[in-house]
Amino acid sequence: MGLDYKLVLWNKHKKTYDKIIALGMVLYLVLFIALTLAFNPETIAETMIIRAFGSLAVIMLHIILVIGPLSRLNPQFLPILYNRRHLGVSMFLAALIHGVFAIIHFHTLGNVNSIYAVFTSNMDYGSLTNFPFQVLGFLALLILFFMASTSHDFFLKNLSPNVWKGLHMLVYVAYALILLHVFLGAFQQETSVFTIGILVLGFIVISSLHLVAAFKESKVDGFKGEKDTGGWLKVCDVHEIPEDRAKIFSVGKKRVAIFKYDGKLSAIHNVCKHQGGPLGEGKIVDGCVTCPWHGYQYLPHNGQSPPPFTEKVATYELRLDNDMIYINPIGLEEGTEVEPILC
Amino acid sequence: MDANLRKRHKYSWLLLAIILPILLILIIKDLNFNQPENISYETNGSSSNNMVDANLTKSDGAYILELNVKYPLKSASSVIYALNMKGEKGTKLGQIKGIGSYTFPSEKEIQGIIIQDVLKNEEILKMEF
Repeated sequence: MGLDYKLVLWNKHKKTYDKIIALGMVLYLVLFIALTLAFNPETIAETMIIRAFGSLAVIMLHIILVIGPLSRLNPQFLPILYNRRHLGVSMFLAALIHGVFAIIHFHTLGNVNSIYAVFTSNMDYGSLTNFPFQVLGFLALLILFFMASTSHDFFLKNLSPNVWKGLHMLVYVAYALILLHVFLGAFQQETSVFTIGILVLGFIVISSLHLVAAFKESKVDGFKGEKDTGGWLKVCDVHEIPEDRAKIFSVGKKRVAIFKYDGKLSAIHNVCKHQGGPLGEGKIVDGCVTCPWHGYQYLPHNGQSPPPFTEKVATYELRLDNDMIYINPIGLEEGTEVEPILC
Repeated sequence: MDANLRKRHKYSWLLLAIILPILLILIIKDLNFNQPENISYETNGSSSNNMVDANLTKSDGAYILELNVKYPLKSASSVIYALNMKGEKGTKLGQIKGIGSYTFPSEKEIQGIIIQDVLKNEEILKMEF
């Protein structure tokens, strides 16, 4: 959590992750260049740079895209999610080097503007196999630039987490464009079954993980509990919730996390104010609900971040009847104090 | 993510899972994976002097003239023509701008080449295969 905006929000763990990312990128580039020199020594330096950084960006994009669903399916992957933003910006830098070198190498010696040449050097827009693949890569790079430049808490706060997240879902469009860019680009010049196989395998893994995670979430959204005569929703037995943890339920169109701690029960809105993280998948640390994504904290009985922080989430009234928990589906104002019920 | 974003996420991936494989199959369908092995190159003629190396190959029914210009031709506009069966200037193949490697495709067999300075209307070089 932070009270002001910093260019890069580093802490001890983030620095370790960033070192791993930098080391991984350097190792990959060295390995790529060494293998190219060994097996394809006539390759010129520009081609080597274009291919090394292009393939690095594609691999990093695949890693970025599996982190989200893996974290939804297994909380052990959450620490990787914590540093996904830096991985995304690093991937954009690799893609930018690839794009800039490709434009310099292929388009700067002509008599027209090099960006204009990207769109006009191949006008076979009617063909699927010979479609101008560089245009697809250029459009993907624009999306990645937009995402990297707004990957900051300043934009997150000012755009609102929902709008920000919605815009950053453009990464799926960028992935589709990049997949087609690589397919068309690599294979218009050098048809390789191995490369096709790797990309197809990557697509199957990524799309399967996203769909499995999406359908798992749909089940929670589809929860329809029975209501009592007062309109309160029957949710679960008190013993179903582990100590210092929560269980998540859908109440109308919203998700609510019911936390059990120190022999008490409290319910708050499940969505973190920072990046929309699932508060109910976090745990109680030092008496506060702690978001599993970036560690934002809220007091369970009033949904307020402890001072000096100002974030607030909605709270809900609970009732316990023969160990069965009931919730009032009408949420209270963000930060409203609700007396926890004893269990 | 709220319920609307979760829905958008699910439908985005359902759409990608349907559309991308169809596009990829249509792209792959027209690719020729055996292309490098099937192409046979047959040398049909070659010639060389201190200024230029020329090599004519036949591949898949078409001819390719590879030209390596080793020294500047000292001409403002050097145009290369194929020699016809009579050994005279025939089809125009292209232009030479300086030292380097050039590739000129031709549908007909080439008996030789002639390089002309078209501004001065002078013959710079003539080679027969």
